[in-house]
Amino acid sequence: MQESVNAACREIGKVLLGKEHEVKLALTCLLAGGHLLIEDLPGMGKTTLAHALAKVLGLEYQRVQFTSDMLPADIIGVSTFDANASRFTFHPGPVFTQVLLADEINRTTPKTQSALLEAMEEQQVSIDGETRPLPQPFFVIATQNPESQMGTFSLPESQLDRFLMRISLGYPSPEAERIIFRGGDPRRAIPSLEQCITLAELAEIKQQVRTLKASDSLIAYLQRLVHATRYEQGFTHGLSPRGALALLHAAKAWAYVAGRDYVIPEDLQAVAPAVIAHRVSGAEVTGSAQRLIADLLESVDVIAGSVAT
Amino acid sequence: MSASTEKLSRQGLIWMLLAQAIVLLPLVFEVPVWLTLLAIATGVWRWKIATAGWRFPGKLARLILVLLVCAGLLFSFSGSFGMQSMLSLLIAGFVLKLIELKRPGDFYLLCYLAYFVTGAQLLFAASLPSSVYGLVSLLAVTGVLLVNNGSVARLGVVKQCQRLGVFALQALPIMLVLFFVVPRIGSLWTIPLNKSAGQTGVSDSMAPGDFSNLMRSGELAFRVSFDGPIPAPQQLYWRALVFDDFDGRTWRQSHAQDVQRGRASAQWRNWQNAVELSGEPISYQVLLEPTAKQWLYALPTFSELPESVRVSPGLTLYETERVNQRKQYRVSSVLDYRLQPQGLDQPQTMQALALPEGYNPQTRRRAQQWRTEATDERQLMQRVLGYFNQRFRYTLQPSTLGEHTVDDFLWQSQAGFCEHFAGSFVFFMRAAGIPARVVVGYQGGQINSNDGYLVVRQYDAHAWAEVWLAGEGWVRVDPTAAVAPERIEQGVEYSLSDDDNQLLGNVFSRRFQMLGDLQLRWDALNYRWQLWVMGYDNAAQQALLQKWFGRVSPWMLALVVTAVVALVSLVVLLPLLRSSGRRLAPAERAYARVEKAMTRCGQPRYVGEPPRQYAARISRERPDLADDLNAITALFERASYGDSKTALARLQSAARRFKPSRL
Repeated sequence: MQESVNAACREIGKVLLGKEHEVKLALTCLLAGGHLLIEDLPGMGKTTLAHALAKVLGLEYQRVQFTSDMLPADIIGVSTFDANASRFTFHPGPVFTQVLLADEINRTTPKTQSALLEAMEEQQVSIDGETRPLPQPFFVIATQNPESQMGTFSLPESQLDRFLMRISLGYPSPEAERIIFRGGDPRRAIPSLEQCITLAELAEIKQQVRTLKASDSLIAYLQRLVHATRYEQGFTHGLSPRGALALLHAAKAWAYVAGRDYVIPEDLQAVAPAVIAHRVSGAEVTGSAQRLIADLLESVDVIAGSVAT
Repeated sequence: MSASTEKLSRQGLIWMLLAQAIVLLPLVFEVPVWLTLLAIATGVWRWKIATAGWRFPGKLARLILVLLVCAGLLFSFSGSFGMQSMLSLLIAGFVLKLIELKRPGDFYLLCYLAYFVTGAQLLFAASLPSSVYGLVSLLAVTGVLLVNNGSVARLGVVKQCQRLGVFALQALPIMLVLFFVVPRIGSLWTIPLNKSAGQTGVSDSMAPGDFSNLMRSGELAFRVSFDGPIPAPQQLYWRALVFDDFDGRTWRQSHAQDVQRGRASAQWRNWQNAVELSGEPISYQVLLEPTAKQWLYALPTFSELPESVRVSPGLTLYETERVNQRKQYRVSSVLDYRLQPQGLDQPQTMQALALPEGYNPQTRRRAQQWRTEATDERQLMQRVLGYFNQRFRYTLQPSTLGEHTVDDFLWQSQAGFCEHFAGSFVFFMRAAGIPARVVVGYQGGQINSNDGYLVVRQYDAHAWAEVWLAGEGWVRVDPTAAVAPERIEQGVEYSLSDDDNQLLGNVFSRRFQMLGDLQLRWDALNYRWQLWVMGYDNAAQQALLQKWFGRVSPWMLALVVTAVVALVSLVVLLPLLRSSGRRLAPAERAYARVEKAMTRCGQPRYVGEPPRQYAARISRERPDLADDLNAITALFERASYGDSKTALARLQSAARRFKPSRL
């Protein structure tokens, strides 16, 4: 099944040139069953990535462009009175899908944001006292502009926590950009992307990730990292137990993608920036959080009690 | 440029420059002016390097700078070797290092130098304010170290200050242990502190006009704490020197040279036989400001003296060394005494009657005349003192005296202060055939009611006379008391006209009550500091330790120190030990063996480097080790993270076989 994962990576690589690591992270996030937040400036390929992900997973998807005048009902759906049947009928909103592309989530009001985020956490929505389950699997791929941009409502810490990873794509490399300039908009290739992972495979992968082995030595390293975020490094606040669990879970998925049935420290280090940054530094700018995490990974000993200097 | 230097050149540099300025400020007065300018110049230069893209000086420029500075130092101190020149050399290095400040290593060196320079501050001043300033400097330098430390650098200012406070508090117990327990080791060598000899104080000769300079100074002379109540002002004659040699203008000690050269004749070994004591002794402690002279001040006569102190033939105290630092000593005195009542020997009598030929003929004639008119010596003395009382005026602005100073004073100007009265009185007595001599020192003092001790200032300097009477010995006669009794009873400022009072030292604090009161309080604080902190010497330490632990042997002391140090370091180190003190799993132990071998051949693993990355890096740097290390790493991963038993066994044997060669 690793082959299909790698094939999926390659497929997305066709539309997002030179971003292998970010693509792999995004895919890992979804394989771990987590929601993904992509943060970057406009025009960096956020939406392209989200589209491509949905496409290679062969999932039904909906795209919602968030605006500041949007109401919760615009996402979740509304009940209207049907005069013919003389009862209320529910018109499901765009959230009833497998992959929801929530574009520019920080452009909408906190009220609407929290309606979506509740759906993310509970995998269900409650309307008019009735609970309606969402389709399975259910992923949210949200994109947002950096918070310093005009007209944005930044997500509070508690809601950022719902996203397993926050990644940013960054500028493409000169080589990749040259290809883009020559070949035109790569987004046109999205419809032609092939599905690489079936629904059944996806469920199987999620199951296998969950049962992947994390040895005592690795757990000890994880604990040292978590301890350092809480008491040693200059983070605003440390990693919560849920955050630590998310880190381990993401590392397991990363190990799975790498074709291993156990987690090694590199897996933790690979996913740490994407998993930790938005959990420990609140509304801080991404850049400084990234530097803090780089320091963290440099200063926490991978193998405790070794003779390393 | 690495990230660490980048960080340094911004915020860190500002703090570094600031701390350097703080550390150097009090030393500015001790070093040549051009060194201060150099410090400012290097500071500006370094700042411009960081902000305006100026360049670091090249090798040649640095060499020229160093040579110039060395030449400047040689020129400024004309090659003399002393504390100031050594300090200047240190400071020159300290400020020049700034324009070499590139790597983190340079930065740490600069910080440690700053600590050293902070210590040097205390060489020149050990008062309470300068100690507080030293503490501020210390905190500033530690702050700079903190601000430039990776993880602390990102904290807010408040948190950084907190961290600094925690550091200071952690250092406190160590400081206390060092202060209280660690023996004071005497200096192994001394560097002369070539401080200008501008010390005021009673000098070893007395010529007309000498004292008036002294009276204009409000500087502290010494402070005294009495064990019991403070005696009446009339009894507080702080004896320092006896002048028995007169050359017509100046009074001197006849044995001055002997004292200076430490000759045996300077010392009066059996002085105790020559005094008769009656009454209870009073004990007191004197804290003498540095005088650069040998003599000490005390009330006659003495029943108990510190060991190192000697007694001169004039019944005054002196030290074998000059008092260049604040000195503390304890004396017990009996105020009611008779000195040499049995009689003087021939040379002593000769000395006490000697007069220079050809001076003051009028006084000599008059003295002989009065002598014949008087029935006994006492009556003659009364007549002279009565004459003083009727005709004379006490003033700090006497008219100048001619060649025959005593004649001019006694029969013409008739206005002067203690030195005139004492000098001419003794001259008169000698001319009348009565052995007499001049005694100088201080008289009275101001009681600091805050702490109940006595403050004696330079304007309390005084001269009086001693006359030898058969059967009574040397009797103190204070002719000034005959003219201005309030000088003796209340202090010098009460005996002077307003005009004269202006001349006296400390005009302002005496004029304004509140200012004077503040000054007294400040003095009390300083006195306590000097007595308890600066005065905590070996003897005081012994006494304190004895009080705490009973009899202290050096072994015991060493044990206590070691125990305390061990305890403190344990408390500090425990969290560190705990965090890395996990017991190693077998796979980790095997891998640690490999790492140890790699460290030994100069290729250690970085702290945050996972094994696989490490192996990849080593493969690039040491291709010869690549195969072994990659194999070991793969085994380690499977053993440690995949929990594979077979991999563990193979890892252990591979680790044992692993013998990397050094390059």
